[in-house]
Amino acid sequence: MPDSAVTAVDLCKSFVDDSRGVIRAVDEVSFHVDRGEVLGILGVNGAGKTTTLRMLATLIEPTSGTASVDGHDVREDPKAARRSLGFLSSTTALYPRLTARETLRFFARMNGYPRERLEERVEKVVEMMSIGSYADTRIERLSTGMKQKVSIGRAMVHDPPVLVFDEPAAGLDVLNAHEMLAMIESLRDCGHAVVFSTHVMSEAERICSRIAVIHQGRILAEGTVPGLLERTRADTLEDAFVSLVESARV
Amino acid sequence: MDGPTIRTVFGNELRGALRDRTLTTHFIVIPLLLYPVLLWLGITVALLYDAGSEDTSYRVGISPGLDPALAGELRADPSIDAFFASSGAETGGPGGGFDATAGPVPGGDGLPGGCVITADLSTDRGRTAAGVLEGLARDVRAAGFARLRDSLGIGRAEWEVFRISTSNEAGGRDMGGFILGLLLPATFAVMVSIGCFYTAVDATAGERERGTIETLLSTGADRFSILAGKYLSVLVSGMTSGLLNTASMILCVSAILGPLLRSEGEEISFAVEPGAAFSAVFASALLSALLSALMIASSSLARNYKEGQAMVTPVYLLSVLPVIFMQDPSISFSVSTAAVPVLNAALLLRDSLTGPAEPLPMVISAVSTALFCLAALWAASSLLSREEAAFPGEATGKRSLYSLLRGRRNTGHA
Repeated sequence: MPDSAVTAVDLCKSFVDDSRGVIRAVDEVSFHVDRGEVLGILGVNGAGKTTTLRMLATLIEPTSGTASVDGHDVREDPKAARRSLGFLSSTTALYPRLTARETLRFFARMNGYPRERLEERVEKVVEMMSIGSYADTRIERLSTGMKQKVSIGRAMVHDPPVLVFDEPAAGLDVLNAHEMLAMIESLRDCGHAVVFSTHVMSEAERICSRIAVIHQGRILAEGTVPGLLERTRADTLEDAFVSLVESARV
Repeated sequence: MDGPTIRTVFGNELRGALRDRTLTTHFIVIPLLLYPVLLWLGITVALLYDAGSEDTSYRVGISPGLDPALAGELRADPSIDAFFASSGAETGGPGGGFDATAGPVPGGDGLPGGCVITADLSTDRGRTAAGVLEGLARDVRAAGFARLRDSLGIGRAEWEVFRISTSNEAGGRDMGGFILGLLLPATFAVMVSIGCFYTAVDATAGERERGTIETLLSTGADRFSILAGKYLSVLVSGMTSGLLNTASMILCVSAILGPLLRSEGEEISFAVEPGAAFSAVFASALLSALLSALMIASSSLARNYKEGQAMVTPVYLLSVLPVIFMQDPSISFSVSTAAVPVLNAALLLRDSLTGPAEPLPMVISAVSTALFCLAALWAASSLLSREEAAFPGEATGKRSLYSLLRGRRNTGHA
């Protein structure tokens, strides 16, 4: 995997719960994502998608195994790993008292984007995301769809080679979700490596180059959509997913 | 530590605080307007009280046999409705009981005659009426002494025997410093604390409540620089609060108390020497530095505003402690007190208003405060480096603070 922007090797994460004992939320998960590719991580709620992506973003530490982002090991050099990725999830909120433009500026600086090119980059992202009409409006006054656009801009403002989106369409209406998926497609086409988690099959089918099905912390299958359909002898991705999960239960 | 990250976080926090009405109210508006509003309220209440007391009259019973001169004074006084009572203090006049009664005390056995004042001292009217009666009785006695002196042909100076007078060698500026030293330090500590309180809670617990902590921690910045930027913003708001409050008090006292005292013949100046101004800034920095660190550290555990406020309250109460020690004039800013946090800043401010502060205690204060700050920030940084700092209660399935305290350190500690 010479050109892989993201690699995960035997990633594990265990939590201790007083009532349930040791919970293995992620269990020996391995995958890679190349540049210009979207890897979809497909799973039901609680399957381990978010925990896996948070380990990539160095927000939580793997119990064992390792991962690297743009060649930076998440354990050895977490700061460089974070600077190489843009992380967006349904729980990564924006500062309500900043304007959209100030938000982009702030996160570009926080990720060490060169000061002399910062304004130019911010304006480029404003244009790319088509948020110019409300770029100077405070986040607290924007609609959910507008905020999501700014959030995507926030994640990519420092021009990272890797983008990690954890259920980014959660809570969005159909039109906004559609627009957001189009943006992810364009990012892929620009050569970014994208890791995308969802439990909505149609989203995965539309934009993912490859799909990893995760259930109870383990990857059950990984491949292209036609590959998965062939392997499970299913007609749709949804049927293929159900078949994989059911067989894992047995 | 990363300078540009610290500056960026500091700027972001300060901008956010200045755009929030609650925060600006607490660290700018209240410190600035507290004294003008208090003085306005005080003057209004005093005027209302004066207007009310001018119309107030007290019902006083005069028992038979009372010294005729005193009885005459009582009848002549406009604040007294005097009635002749046939018997003791409880005898009611028209419409009810007396506020006080004045009865005779017969002389004999070498003692002079006089009067006994009876009143219910548990009531405001009773106490005031008794005070008025006592004043009139003293006037009657003083007039008696004057008559006796004249009848004996003794001069005024001989009669006085021994004269006592006090001379104040303090200048007007010294007296101004003394008055400010009495008024300022107690509220100064509280104001600095209020200035730090809400910005600290907003920068930590508020960040979690808004859901921005995960966004912030997913950036390529190191945790300690993020914390340092937040700390500086809290420090600045605390200092701003303390200095605005100090300036506001000095202006109010100069503009209102100064002219009042001058009308009483006192020449008092409330001008602040440059040395005292420097000490005030230094004291403000000391107190803000410490309280900011303690508040940031204590609210680092909180998941929301409510928890944050509950956790910061003990630190706030700590800032009120100097008020107790300020009452004791024997405690001053010295080598020994300089090492005691919070108290050192309040004492430095008080003493510097009446004279220059010694450099050695100032250095000791700075070192002592720096050590406390580092310990608090280390604790806060350790908490921020734990997984539960970004996802309190979520990742481990626990929602207790205990889980946060014993949680795993995450890889983003760099």
